[in-house]
Amino acid sequence: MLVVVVVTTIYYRLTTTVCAINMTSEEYRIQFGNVNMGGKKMTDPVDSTYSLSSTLGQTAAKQFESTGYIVKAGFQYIYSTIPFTFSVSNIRADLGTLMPSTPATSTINLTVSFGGAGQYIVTAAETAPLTNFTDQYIENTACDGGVNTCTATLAKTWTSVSAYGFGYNMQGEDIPADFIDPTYYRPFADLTVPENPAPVMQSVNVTQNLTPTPNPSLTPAPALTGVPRDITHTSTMTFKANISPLQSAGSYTTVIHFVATPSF
Amino acid sequence: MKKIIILLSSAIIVLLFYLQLTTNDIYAQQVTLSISPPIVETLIKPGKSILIGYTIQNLGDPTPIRIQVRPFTPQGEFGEMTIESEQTSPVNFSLDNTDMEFEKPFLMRQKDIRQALLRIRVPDTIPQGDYYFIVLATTDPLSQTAGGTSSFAKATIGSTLLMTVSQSGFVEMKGRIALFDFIPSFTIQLFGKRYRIVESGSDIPVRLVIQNQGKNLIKPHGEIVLRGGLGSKSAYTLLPQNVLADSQRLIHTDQKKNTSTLYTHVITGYHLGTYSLTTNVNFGENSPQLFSSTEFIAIPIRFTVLLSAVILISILIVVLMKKRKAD
Repeated sequence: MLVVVVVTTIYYRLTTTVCAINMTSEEYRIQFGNVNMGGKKMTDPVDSTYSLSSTLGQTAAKQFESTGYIVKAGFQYIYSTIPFTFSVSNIRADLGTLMPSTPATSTINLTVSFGGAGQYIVTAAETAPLTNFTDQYIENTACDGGVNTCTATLAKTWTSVSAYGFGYNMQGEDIPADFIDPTYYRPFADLTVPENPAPVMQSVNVTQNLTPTPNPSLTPAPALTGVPRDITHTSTMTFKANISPLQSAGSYTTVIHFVATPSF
Repeated sequence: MKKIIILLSSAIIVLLFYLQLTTNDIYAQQVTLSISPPIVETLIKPGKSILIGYTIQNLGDPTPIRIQVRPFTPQGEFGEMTIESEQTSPVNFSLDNTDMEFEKPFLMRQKDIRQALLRIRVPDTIPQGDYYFIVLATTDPLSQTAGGTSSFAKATIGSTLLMTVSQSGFVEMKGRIALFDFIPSFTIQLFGKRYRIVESGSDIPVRLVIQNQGKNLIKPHGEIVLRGGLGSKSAYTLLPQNVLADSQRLIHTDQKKNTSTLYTHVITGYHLGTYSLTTNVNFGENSPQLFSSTEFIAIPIRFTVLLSAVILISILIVVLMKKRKAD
């Protein structure tokens, strides 16, 4: 009997689950967010999202009194192990050798991935207009002009070959509503003015399908149906430059600064 | 003849050398950065210091990365922000890593994962209140010497850091409902009263904006309730999104279909009759319960117009036929 008790005790002692949450030493203390063991699964058949239990109330107050701080990492109402990720498909958009009144275009893809549902914003701005080595520059586009005069925050049509400048169009997911079709362009916000960077992608539900479809079932089935949940949102940015016959020849360059931030 | 061949061969070799030396190699270099955690909220006493680990991963091509911390202020009501160009806050930041410094680039190879150990020191003398920062990881753009006209990309990924400095741990929860409304199909004025009409089958976009009048961020808790004349009731839970100090924000419900940043909730389905739309909001324990409501009448306008047109045409046809018969 004693042997059984001792063996059982040793067994439970050895198999006790150890849950490491925070790493501490005399020098540092790192608190990890999104403690998976604290997650609570919601009965959501669409995408099986999770929510974390709140850490408010007396627990937080006691913690604050004893240590002098409370840290909460990650969105408290979203469970996710997918980090916030931002991708630019090509860091150089090559417009080639510009010919007068012959628009040149080049495209890149912007992709955002974010676990669960969370708001994010991607902004874009140029560090300066397209400039050559002799400091001559290509003006930012005003699009076709007149009623079709675009600004850094309002896209308008740019189809005329006699309308010169440099600008961009957005197509794809989470883009601003003013990019109605591929003929709509905006100039970049110019940081030398300075102008505020303009949002080019924005969503409140990053990894949700726009038309939600169920995940494939994990239980074996004759055939998997439905579409796997979309975990990325992608848009295409088209750069366009069109120069006048009076524009000096040469290589013009600029840097577009993309800033991707999850919202607060 | 032999001389000409030698000369031509030499010229071709020199030309090939020249072309080889002056050709620009163009690569489709990709940038893919990830950062975790995406947001950190902290309540901290003056004089305290904390350390937070940010995991940065390079899933694209090798690139130099710079780590920066910048204050930001909320802008508008859709969760946008203005990032300051300099770190001007009284809160002190440093990196505990031995191989990483603020503003100085370090190379991240493909699939590299680095942890930036951000040390935050809150001075003893700092005024109590909220301080908002963003931790940024920025790539260095390529050398701009490539031939032709090009636009180069510089990518930055950020993680928000919301800091409430309080000596006692108590925070100010002072907010109000700045806007609670929906977009009707049209409005009519009848006997001095305004009626808001909604097409029965159409979507009804609802907007709820919370204004923070205090010095600390608040999180709204509550719901939006739709009640119909026949006793029907639907409730939509609000997401506890942060409303930062001295700002306002459009709050969303947990509706997954709504991807619009412009609307709190989009009511779908077929509605008929009088409906009331109410919201109850509080900001946590011991905060007052805020209430707002509005009403609308749902009518099948298109169906009614179509039916009226059919009846009118039918009556017209019958009248015309009777008239012909009489003639």
